[in-house]
This record gives sequence, structure tokens and C-alpha cells, in this order.
Amino acid sequence: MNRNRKFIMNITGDALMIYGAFLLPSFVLSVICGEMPVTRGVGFISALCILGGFYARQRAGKIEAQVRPRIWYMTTFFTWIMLIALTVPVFYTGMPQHSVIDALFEASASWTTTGAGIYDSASMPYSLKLVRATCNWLGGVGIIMTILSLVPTRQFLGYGLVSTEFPGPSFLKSGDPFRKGYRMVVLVYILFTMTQFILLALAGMPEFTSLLTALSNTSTAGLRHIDNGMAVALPMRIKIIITVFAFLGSVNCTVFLFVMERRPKAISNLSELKMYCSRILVTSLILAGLIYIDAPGRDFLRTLGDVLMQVISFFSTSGYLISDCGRWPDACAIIILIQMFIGSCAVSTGGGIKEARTIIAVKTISLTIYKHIHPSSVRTLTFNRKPLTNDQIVRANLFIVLFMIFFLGGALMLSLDTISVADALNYSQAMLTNTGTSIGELSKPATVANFSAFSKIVMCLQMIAGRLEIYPFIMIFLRNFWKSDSAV
Amino acid sequence: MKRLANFYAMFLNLMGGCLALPLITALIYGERSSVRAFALVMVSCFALGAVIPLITKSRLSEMDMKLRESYFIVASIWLIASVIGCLPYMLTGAIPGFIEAFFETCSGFTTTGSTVIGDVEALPRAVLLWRSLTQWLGGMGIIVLFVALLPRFGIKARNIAKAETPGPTVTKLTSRFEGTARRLYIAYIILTVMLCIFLMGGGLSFYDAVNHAFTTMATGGFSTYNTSVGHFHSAYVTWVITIFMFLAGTNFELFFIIADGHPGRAFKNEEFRLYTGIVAVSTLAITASLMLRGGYGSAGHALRDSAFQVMTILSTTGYATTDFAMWPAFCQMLLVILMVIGGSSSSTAGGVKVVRVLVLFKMIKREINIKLHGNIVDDVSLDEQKVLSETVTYIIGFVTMYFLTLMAATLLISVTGSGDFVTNFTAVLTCISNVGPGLGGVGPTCTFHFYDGFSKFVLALVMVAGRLELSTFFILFSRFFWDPYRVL
Repeated sequence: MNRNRKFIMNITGDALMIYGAFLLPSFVLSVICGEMPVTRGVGFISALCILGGFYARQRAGKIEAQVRPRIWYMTTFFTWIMLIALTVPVFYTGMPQHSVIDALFEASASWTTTGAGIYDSASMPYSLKLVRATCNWLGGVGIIMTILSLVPTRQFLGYGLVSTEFPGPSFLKSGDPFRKGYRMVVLVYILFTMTQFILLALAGMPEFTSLLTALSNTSTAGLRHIDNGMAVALPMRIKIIITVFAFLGSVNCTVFLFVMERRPKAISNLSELKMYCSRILVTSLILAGLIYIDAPGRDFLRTLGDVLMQVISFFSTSGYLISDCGRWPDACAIIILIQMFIGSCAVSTGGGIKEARTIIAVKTISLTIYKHIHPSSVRTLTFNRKPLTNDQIVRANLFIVLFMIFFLGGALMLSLDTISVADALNYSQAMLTNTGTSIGELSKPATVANFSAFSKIVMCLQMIAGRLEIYPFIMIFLRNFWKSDSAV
Repeated sequence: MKRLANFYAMFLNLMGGCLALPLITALIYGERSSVRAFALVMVSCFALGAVIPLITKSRLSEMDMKLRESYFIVASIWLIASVIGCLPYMLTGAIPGFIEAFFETCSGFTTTGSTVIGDVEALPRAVLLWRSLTQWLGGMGIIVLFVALLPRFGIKARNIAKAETPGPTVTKLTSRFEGTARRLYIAYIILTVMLCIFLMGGGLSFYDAVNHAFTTMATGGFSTYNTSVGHFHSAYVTWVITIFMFLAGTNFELFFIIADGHPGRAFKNEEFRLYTGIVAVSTLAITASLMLRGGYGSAGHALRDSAFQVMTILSTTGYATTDFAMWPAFCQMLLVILMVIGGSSSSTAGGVKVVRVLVLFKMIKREINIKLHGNIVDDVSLDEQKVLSETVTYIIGFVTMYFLTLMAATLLISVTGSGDFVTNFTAVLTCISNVGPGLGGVGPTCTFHFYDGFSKFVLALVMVAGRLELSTFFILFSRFFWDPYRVL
């Protein structure tokens, strides 16, 4: 067995064992609740993952040396595809009235933290809801990140491998070693999940629902377990807790590292955080203004509060509906929809183009104009007060273009179904940004179930492409991906 | 200031000269109100053009301008042309409101073809000819015409023309740019005359043939009939216009390469091959979709309609022989993507341009190779020549600017709440790419009249920005432009 294969088997083996272990609470719950189909499915997959993962690790032996970037991408992609594929039988056995494609959609949505789904939460077994929330949490934090943090022998792999799962222009640039960085990030997410669970339970939410909410919301996966995502009727205190944690989930992890390092000045220098917060506030004010103009009798401050919570839901790419936004003017929906492209901050559990890239893109435009006026000038762009290389600038802009290509291409594929252009565009964006909620759904229930099998597969691919930030997804279609480094 | 004023004076004389054509038409058809309107505007242009040099006492040879002034001249001339151009509409009463007339004129000069006029056939013939002429003048560029007509221009002609000519490059076909400009206009005139003759051969009157030749070669899309080219119900006319739209969307430099006896080199041009490929694949895909789902019984009819519609959108002309808003969603989505791509560089078409799309795909491939295999050296090349890193950065900057402008303008016109997302998104898309029709409320059988004044103004500016390749227009709004000593 060669070095590359050993590496891939080692990591995927770990991923399988971790997933198998994480499925055990769902298995126990299914036994307690007497949900036999789920017990069979979860039990079998959990055992298969633990045993298969153990065998893969034993077979591969120790990782001997570092591998090429190609193998990092291959490992990440295979791990994700394998885990999604192994989740399909769990959903299929738990909800046999739905097709395998529906189970695939549900599994992809769960892992990619997309708040979309086909299954009706009301009729879903409790244990299956827990499986979904578990996948949400693992997908949000990142399975590779979890492996590297939890398994001691993997920690030297570092930056390269994690960046294939959590790509972004400003990955964990704190003063600490990288290894310490990602371990702290996982700890922070565990802390957030536990705190949220306790706060929600104290606020009056049933314990099981609190647990599901904490797992899903920290990973910005939405609230599909609460009456098909309709959380409008929840008490205000619960809404506030959900909103705060959705926001924290969508913020760059570097912020939390700086908080733990007690470096407030470093936080104030993070242009991405400043821009993200400003965008949320400005958009909320505009939307509240538009709603107030539309219905002048409303209490402006209460409207602003409702709008702020809903805006955070969409900007963090959680996509849950927490306000009566179905009654908002059409302009509000379009304003949210356009900004959903940007999404949340880099190195967070949120999706989209990311705030950092948008800032770099705007600065690139400024530089382009400057170069037109002063063609001979030598100027560099800065981000977080640090200079950017030309490669970083091109890379950030290229990702935006790639994102738009996938958005339009996805909409083209979806338009092969019997849907309108508006729906094709809306759903393409909802899946690619991992928001999951189409803007059309502000006033009508989700209609993903009515799509053809082909469209559901396209949406699954879009969700995976969006979660892994496209590159690992398109690489598998290139010949160079399968060639050895010496053959290039 | 003196130098700029003198330039404007010459421009006013040119505009006055151009107004002679609709004035003669008005005299021939006995349209008294049109005679008065065109004569008044023409005399005013000549009078101002004569007075300004007397006041400034500046000579042509003194006008050696800086690059910054060149951009200012181009952007301001386009805005002045749009203001002067709307006077005949207002004076004849064809379009009484300034914003509507400004929109129509911008749509003309920028060769967009979007209209606010519901019943085009009710307009005086002289006004319709002026409408078509604005497109013909804007097609190859007002400034390029200026440079072509006035030898020994004394200014850095190439720099000015570069700011106006579509596409990322302006090749020097001759040693002096004046010669290049003249050759481009000669090709433009020859093709226009040829098309006019072909259309008359199809039974069109001289007046209709001239109008449609003007707007086809400029890829403008204004017609003298409410049902556009569909009015003629002629397969011959449809195919002739389709072929000439293809030629108008082709890089004009290739015509000279062919004329110089190197047809092989022209056909090997990577941009041309991709352009042809896009046309062929899109036409076949839409034909198949129309046959399967569009209710077309005859393959010939489906092929003709799809070829025409693909060419009219890709070349950013914007004619209609059928209401493609009634076609299957797949066809509409494909047309939206073609709107983004646009025609070739150095053609009269708008959009991102095929050459930029080509370079982008090569950049994506290069980026993936770098990600996969580490620090390999993999340059982007076009037609066997390395593309400079500066050009690559400029291209990626342009495309990002294109998408951000698209999103920002959609956001702006959505605030007033005039249309749904598809309507607003495609309205901005069609304006920034200078196409003409969009989807939804701005489909091929609809007009832009329902938008409020603010939205129309924004859309008109988007047209000008799109026609001037964004940077030339946005430079005017840059703080670095107004304060050249300011640093980034």
C-alpha cells in the first residue's frame, strides 16, 4: 500500500469511527423510544462505521510522512462523500415511505448544514431527528477538524488538510500555533452548544428540542426540527438565544481565539467582523424602514427587532423563519436574497461567498480604478491591516466568479425541471449558500419534495459544492486530480 | 478646462452633423414637428460648437491630455450625448418626460435596446431613424468615430479609444491609432451597407432596411415595429439578421486578418472558436428543449427561432421574433447565462465578453492545478501567448465589478419595490450587458415604462457603465479621480 492510500485510509478510518461513535446516542434513543426501523438502521451503520473505521486504520498502519495537497483534497472529498453515503441508509430505514433520493437529499442537507429538507419533522422519529442534528453539528464544525482535534496522532497534519474543509482567505491567523488554534475552535463550539442547550432549557424549551436546537443552530443549519422550521411562535427570550448563537456560529473563529487570548485590540482590527456587523445593522434598518412605510401602524422598535433576528438567520445562512416575513414587502425579500450571496464570515459554520472575499473584491475594484488613474503606480491591498499578495487577491475574486458560475449553472440544471426561472434561481442560491430556504418560501411552504429526482441530485451536489467551497468538488472532474504529482 | 471645452465643441459639431440624417428624413416624410425639433437641436449644437472655441481660444494641437482627463472625456461625452440625444424625443413629444427620454437615449447610444415606448409604430419616422442612428453611433463608439474622422487628432487617441472600445484589448491594426479607428469604421460601414442590401432583397423597404441594418450591426435591437423582427414573418430576413448578428458579435480584428489573407489564423483564434462553440451548443440545446417541451412541431422552425434568439442575446442585440418568456424555463435560463457572457472583444457587443470568460476558465484550471500540486509554474496563455499577470488581475477585477454592480443595482431598484426578483435582476442584467429584453416584467413583449423615475435613471446609468466597460464610468465616482495626489 502506497503512502497516499495509507493517508486516505487513516483519515477516513478515523472519520468513520467518530461518526459511528456519534451515532450511538441516537441508537440508544431509538431503543428507548421503541423506534425499531431507526434502531436497525442506526445500529447497523454505527457498528459498520466503528468496525470499518477500525479495520481501515489497522490496515493502513501509521502515517509515515506528509503528502501532497492533491491527497488532502482527495481525503476531504472522499470522507465527506462516504459519510453522506453512510447516512442515506439511516434516513431511508427511518422513513421508508420516502425514496432513496429523498434520503440522499436529507443526508446531504444535514451534513452540509443546509436548512432544507423533504421529511416532515412532525412525523419524523425522535432518534432520526437526533441523527440529523448530529450530522448538522459534525458538518458544521467539520469532520476533518474534529478528527484532528480529538485524535492525538493526527495533529501534525495541520493547516493544509484543515484548509481543504474550511477554506477561506483568513484562516485562523492568531498568535498561537495552528494546532492549538483548531483545537480551541472545536472546544469553543462544544462550549457554545452546551451553553445554548442549558439556556434554551432554562428559557422553557423542552430538553430534547433544546438539544436539537443547540446542535443545529450552532452549526447554522436552521431549525427544521421545529414545525418545519417555523419558529415564529416561539417566546421572545428563546428567539433571542437562538439569534445570538446563530450569529456566533457565523462569525470567524479567529474572533473567539482572540477573545480567549484577551486581545480586544486585535478583534477591533478585524475588518471582516466590522463589515459583517455593519451589514446586518444597515440591512435591518433599511428593511424595518420599508416595512414601516408599508404598514405605518407598526411599532418600529419591535419591527426592527424582528427584522434583525430574521436578517441574522439569513446572513448566517441558517435560513430559519423566526418572524412573520411572509407579510413583508417584496423589496425586503430581494434585498435579503441578494445579500445571501455574501453569507457569513470566513472560517465559520456559515456558507456563501464570505464577507472577507467580498471586502477583498471591493478593494480590488478600488485598486483597478486607482491603476486606471495611475497606471505606473505600485500599490498593494491590505486586509486586517496586513498586505495581500497578488495571488490572494486573484484567488478571492476568482472564487466569487466561480460561485456565480455554479449559481447560474445550478439554476440551468434545475430549470430542466418543470419550475419557473425564479424558482430555479432561488433554489440554486439557497442550496449553494447552504441557507436552504428559498426566498419564495417567505410566503409559502417549502416545495423541495415536489422536485424531480434529477433536480434533487443537482441540489445535493450544489450543497456539497457550497459547503466545501467548490474547489474540492470540481477537482474530481479534472484529469490532473487523478494523476500522480510526477506525471503532471 | 480649456482643452476639455474645445473637445466638447468638436463633439457638438459631430452631433449636429449626425442630426442631419433624421432631419432629411423628416423633410422627406413631411413630419413638421420633427423638422422643427431636429433643426433646433442641430442648430443649437453647431452654434455651441462654434462659440466654445472662440471663447476658449484653444487649438487642436494643444490638446495633449493626461490619462485621467481621457477617462473623464469619454464618460462625460457619453453622458452629454445621452442628454442631447433625448432632446428630439422631448421636442417632438414622442417621449415627453426627461427621465424616460434619457433612458431611451442611453438605451440607444449604449446599444442596449430596452425601451419605455409601448407603441413604437406611432412615433414619427424621423424619430425612429434617430433612435436607430443613436445605436449605430454608439455601436463602434462615438469617440472611435471622432478619432477616425479627425486625423492628427493631437491627443493620445489610443488611450481615449481604449476607454470606450468594448473588450480588454485594442489592437493596433495600423501604426497610428487613427488608422485603426478608420479601418474599424470602414468594416462597420461595409457590413451595414451589405446588410441593408440583403434586407432589401428580402422585401424590406429602404427605410426599414436602413433602420434594421443600423441596429443589427450595432447590436442594438431597436426596431421600427412593435413586434420587432417578428413583424416581417420572413425566414429569409430572420436568417440574414441572425448571420449579421453573429458577425457583429465577432472580434472585428478577425475581419482584417481574413482580409490580409490569413483566414486560417482567424479561425484558430481561441476566442472565436469558443464564441462559435457557445452559439452552436446553445442553439442545439434550445432547439431540443423547444422540440421536447416548447410545443414546436417543426425542427426547422425550432432551429430558426432558437438560432435567432441565441444570437440576439449573445451578441447583445435584443431583437425578438417570438416571446421567449413563454419558452421552457431551461431556455430562459440559458438565455440569462448568454446575457452574462455577451459577444467577442473589439465587437459592437456588450456583456462580460467571450475572451474574458475564456481567460477566467483558464485561470480556474490553473488555480486548481496549483491547489493540487503545490507551487507549480502554470501560466495562463491565450492564442499561444502568455497573458500578463496585470491583465489577469484586470480581467478578474472587471468580472467581479460586473457581478457586484449587477447585485448593487438590483438592490437599488428593488428598494422602490417596482418588480419581483427575476424582473429586477434581469432588468439590470440586460442593461449592464446592453442586451435589451429581460425576463418577467421586462420580457421581450414588455417595456420598462412601469419602473419609477429613480429606477429608470439607475438603469440608464447602468447601461452607460456597461457600455464603457464599468471602470471608465466608475472612475468618475472615485475619490482618487478628483484628488489625483491621494494615495490608496
